[in-house]
Amino acid sequence: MFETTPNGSSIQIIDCKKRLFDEDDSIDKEKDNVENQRRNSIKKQKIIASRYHRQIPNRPFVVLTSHQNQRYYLLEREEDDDCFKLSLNDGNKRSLLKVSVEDMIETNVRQELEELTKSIDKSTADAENEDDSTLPIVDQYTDELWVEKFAPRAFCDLLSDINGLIFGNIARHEQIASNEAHKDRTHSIATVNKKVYPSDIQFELDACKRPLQKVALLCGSPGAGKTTLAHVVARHAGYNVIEMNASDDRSVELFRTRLETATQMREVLSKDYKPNCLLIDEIDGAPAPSIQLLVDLISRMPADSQQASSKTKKNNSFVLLRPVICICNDLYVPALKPLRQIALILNFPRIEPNVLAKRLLTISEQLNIQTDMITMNSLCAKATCDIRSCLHFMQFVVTHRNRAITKKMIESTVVLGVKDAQKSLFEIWTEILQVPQSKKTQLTLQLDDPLKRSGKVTLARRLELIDLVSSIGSYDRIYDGLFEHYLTLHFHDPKLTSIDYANQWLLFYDVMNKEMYTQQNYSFLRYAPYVALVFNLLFVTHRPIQMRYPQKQLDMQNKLRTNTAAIETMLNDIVPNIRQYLNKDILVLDILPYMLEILQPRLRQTNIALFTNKELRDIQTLIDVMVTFSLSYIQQRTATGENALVLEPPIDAVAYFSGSNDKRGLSFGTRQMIFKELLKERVKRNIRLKSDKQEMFVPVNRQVTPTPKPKHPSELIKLQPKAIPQNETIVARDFFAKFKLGPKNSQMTPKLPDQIDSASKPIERQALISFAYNEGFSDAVRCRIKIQDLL
Amino acid sequence: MVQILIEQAENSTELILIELQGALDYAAEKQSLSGERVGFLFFTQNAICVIGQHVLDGKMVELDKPLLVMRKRQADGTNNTSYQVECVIKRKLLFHKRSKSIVHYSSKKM
Amino acid sequence: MNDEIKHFPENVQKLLADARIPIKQLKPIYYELTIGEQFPDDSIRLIEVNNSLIEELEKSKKLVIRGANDDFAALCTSDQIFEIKSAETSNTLLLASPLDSSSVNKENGCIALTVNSILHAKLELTQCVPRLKRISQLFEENPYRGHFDDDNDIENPKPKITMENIKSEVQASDQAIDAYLKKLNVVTIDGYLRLLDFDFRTKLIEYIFSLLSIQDWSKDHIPIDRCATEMKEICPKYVAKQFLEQIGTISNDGNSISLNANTISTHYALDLLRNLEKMKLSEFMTCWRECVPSDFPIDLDQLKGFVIISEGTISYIDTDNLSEKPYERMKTLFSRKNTWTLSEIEPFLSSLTTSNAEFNSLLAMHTRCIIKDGQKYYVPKYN
Repeated sequence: MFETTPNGSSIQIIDCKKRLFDEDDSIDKEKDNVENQRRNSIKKQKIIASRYHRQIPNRPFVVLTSHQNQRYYLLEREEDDDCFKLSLNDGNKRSLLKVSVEDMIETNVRQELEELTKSIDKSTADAENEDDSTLPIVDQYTDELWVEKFAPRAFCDLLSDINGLIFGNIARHEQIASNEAHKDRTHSIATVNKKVYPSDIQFELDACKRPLQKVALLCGSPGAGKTTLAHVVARHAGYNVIEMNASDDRSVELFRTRLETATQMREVLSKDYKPNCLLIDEIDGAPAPSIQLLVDLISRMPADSQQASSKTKKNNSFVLLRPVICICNDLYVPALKPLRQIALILNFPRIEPNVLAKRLLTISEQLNIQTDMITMNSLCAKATCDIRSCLHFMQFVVTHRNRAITKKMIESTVVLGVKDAQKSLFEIWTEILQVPQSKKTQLTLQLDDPLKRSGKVTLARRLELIDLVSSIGSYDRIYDGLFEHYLTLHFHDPKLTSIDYANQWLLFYDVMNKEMYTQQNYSFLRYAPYVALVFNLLFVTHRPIQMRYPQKQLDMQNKLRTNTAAIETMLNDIVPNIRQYLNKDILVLDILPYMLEILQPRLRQTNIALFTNKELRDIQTLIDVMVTFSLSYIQQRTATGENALVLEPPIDAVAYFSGSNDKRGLSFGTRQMIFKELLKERVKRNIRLKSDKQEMFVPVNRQVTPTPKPKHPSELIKLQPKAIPQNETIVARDFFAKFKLGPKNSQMTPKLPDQIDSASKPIERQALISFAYNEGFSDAVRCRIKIQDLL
Repeated sequence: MVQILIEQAENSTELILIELQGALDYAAEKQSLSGERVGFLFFTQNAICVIGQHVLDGKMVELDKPLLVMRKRQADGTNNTSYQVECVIKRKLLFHKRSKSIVHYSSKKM
Repeated sequence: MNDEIKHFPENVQKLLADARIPIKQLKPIYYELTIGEQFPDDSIRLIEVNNSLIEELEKSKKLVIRGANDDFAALCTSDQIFEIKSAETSNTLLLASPLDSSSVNKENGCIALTVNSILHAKLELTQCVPRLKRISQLFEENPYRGHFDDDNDIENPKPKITMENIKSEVQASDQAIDAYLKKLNVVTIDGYLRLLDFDFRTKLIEYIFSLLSIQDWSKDHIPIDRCATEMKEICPKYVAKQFLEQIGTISNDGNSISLNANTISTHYALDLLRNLEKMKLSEFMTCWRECVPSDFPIDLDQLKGFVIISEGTISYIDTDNLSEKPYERMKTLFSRKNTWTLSEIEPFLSSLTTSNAEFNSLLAMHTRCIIKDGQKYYVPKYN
């Protein structure tokens, strides 16, 4: 701003002497002026000295940059510095302008706006006081933002042609924006930055964080102003907003073409620094394939961008650099799941009715509408805090009747234009487990005994909750969520009575549920919502809750399934004579925990030959057990890429609680050793089984001996010598049959010389020169030879 | 500083080049191998060579470039070496397939 | 059995049966390989040649391997030179010769073959470049400077060089040697070869020019005999005659010569440059023009292979003294000038290569090619 000022201003020379040192000649020229202003300037100097700051002041200011790129903060002009006005009125325009024209206009406009905001924000000052420290910084940008907003684009056309409503809109968005900034300051500031600076450098910086920020997913209740916020933010950041309504463009093909159009247009527009910002509204209404398409487009980018950026840094012709803002009401539509994982999710907080009511009151004051706080409150309650419908309602009343809104009017209106009244599960969980902001004060001191706390909750609140819960209907999901979260909450309960109590209620619900679904006795359904009320009474807390979608139920179900499968496989494979005494429960509860002890004895990491007797015995039992229960090891690749031998079926997972016994297992080497021994033992037993069969046929007189202890090694030794003499000749014949040549030759050679005289010669000769075949050949070696080698 | 002459021999002989993929082993104890039989050559469409217990299948191959067989002649001392070209070889018998072994199974019956 | 069909001896039949060779398909003659009397015969070598060499051998009845004991062997024909390399093979090569016809046993169909040598290597030939550098080294010791200094130094006799000396010492074909001798202006004096000293050649050329103007001969028709006679003041007639033949082209009738303009101009240019490190190109051109008689054209193209033109200067480089090793030659060349075009560098490398492909691979191995303003330049690969 300083750069634009004409160079002759005497005030500047004085106060910015160090910056404009080389412009002394202009001082000479305007000596007269300086003389005239001497008196003023002394006064000014004081003011000026107090008005320029090197650091960010805590009053309203304007940022100035000097020629030397130093930054100064000029405080807002106050009423008493009339000396500036005086100098402004002085004849010589060139020398007397204090600040540039642009600056003046800017400041004036800003001041007006500032006043407006102040008057509007006065009512909500309490809530926004916390923001004050950050406000000045934001102001720099809101300067432009205001200008942007004054350009009558979206709001007038969108809402109404009544001028006064613009202010309402602005006020509303101011609130939302500040709420947004306040609430999500920590993690949304990055996106805000990204949107604010459309410069290439900023993009490159963003590139590394891109996976988090490629897509912003705004969600919140209807009428909270998501779309408007997205528009404002995007346009403020210098983007050309391309809006598409995903729920309109139902077909995937259309969706794709629209996506691509948005992509292709970017190239043309990138020259005049208005890149596109894709705004996909109501994405929860889009079919799953469309969302998958979008996700593909987004997640495909990183590889492409890396290639592109490695080639040329200037090349920003990929879609990734364009922000995509998706807007939805319900974050947990199944189709949105893939998008949820990659998007930065910005939850719109629910607007407190009284805050909104205050705002509405302010607006109506601006518009000279006669109304009061109670009316506004009831309006908000009726509209379930849907700003849009509130404003619509007010506008409707004002245009059709007079300039007064009464409570009666609101109560007589049956239905307000509500976009989508149902609350999401998340909101319900929050509602149940968290103290509403307006009620903070009521409950602060009553957290001593959870069971006594119930008396402090008003009847109206209880009824409200029960209404709320029963309006959803899907109790299972609600209680899943409550069950998932209730242990993570902060509540004061040293004796765990409240948990016990809560569990009783959950059990009660389960009993009812079972009754309902088995007997079709739906009369119990009416008692279902009270569980929620109990949870509210027991666990309601002030602290914000990090809500997650309940997954434990699903996890546990899966785990149960795999474990059951493992146990069943094991049962099927167990040797029948043991199997008959076992069932699933006995196995899991009585056998497996101890069996695992047997399976993992204390072993040193040495060769099996070096084991002590005890260790050998351990291994013997171990292998015995494994064979009997037909357990085995199989090789698997762990997540880290190492090889590991794991029990098959994985009974260790059944017997141990997850995470409790991880370190206990045997080392890979030991397992390998055991595995080898196990295979050996299996083969041995197979052989023994066969030989047992053979035994069974032949010796009738030896019935007594064989079966009772088949594992004893001495048995083996007894049996083997029997088998071998029988087979010996056969085996021997088999062996030599393969090498017919050998015995024949050995037998024949002595005879040959006698038989054939002439043939004896070649056979004798064969010994002298023989041939050895080479696989392949090489003649690639070349070496130069010297003359002397040829001599 | 020498010039080694390579001259055409007056009476050229005829030589046959046989290339075997493999090596010939000689019994070590015998000093002179002169007169020992190496093997037999038979011809069908192709050639068959029998060396010891091995049967080799081969064929006649034209050489890409002719080979000169030169015999060194040293007239007086090493300073007067010359070579005489005894023969120009333009093809060879190449035995490059895997050898088969002879199995003496039928000799008794004969 | 098959006894009636084949008359193979019993042992052979048994062998065939054992080997499961179908007797019916065999031709009636078989061979028995035996180790010969002279085994092992080490004097036999196999050398792989091409057909042109065989023709050469049949025509001239001889090929020559030249070089000193320590040199790598090179085979020279009248116009080509080959490097001899030994190619080892893992295969066994048997050389079998049929014995006298008496040994053929007709009844058995057996022909005896004797194996006299078993080889595992053969010699191969690859064409290479003649190593002529040694010639100029030989002559430089004692150049010829006219009558006066001729063999006066009796106490310390200079080595005398004959054609035979050169041929046994230089690895090059006869043709290459002859051409090179002519290029060097070597003349035969008293049966020995002598190199004409450069300054002496200048003298001779100047003398010829003065004769031209005195006698009013045309430079294209110089009567050899008369001119040589006139020149006897500075050198014997036979020397002058040989010199004239080297710097000019003999006319059809053999009585007159026309001076070779290229030779003359080049000689003057080298005369200017050979004792200077470098010279400004513009200066050089004016000087050169002044030196050379005006009816001889001058052109920088004539000096290709003799000079290096770089950054507006010109300097002399003696190709004959460059190393015969490619790497060192490249190093020298690039130390004189950093970037070369193809046509600039080609004359300096052509004596290292025999074919275009070889030339290209030499360039690829030692240089990097850059393209600037559409023109290809070669720069050294490694600094």
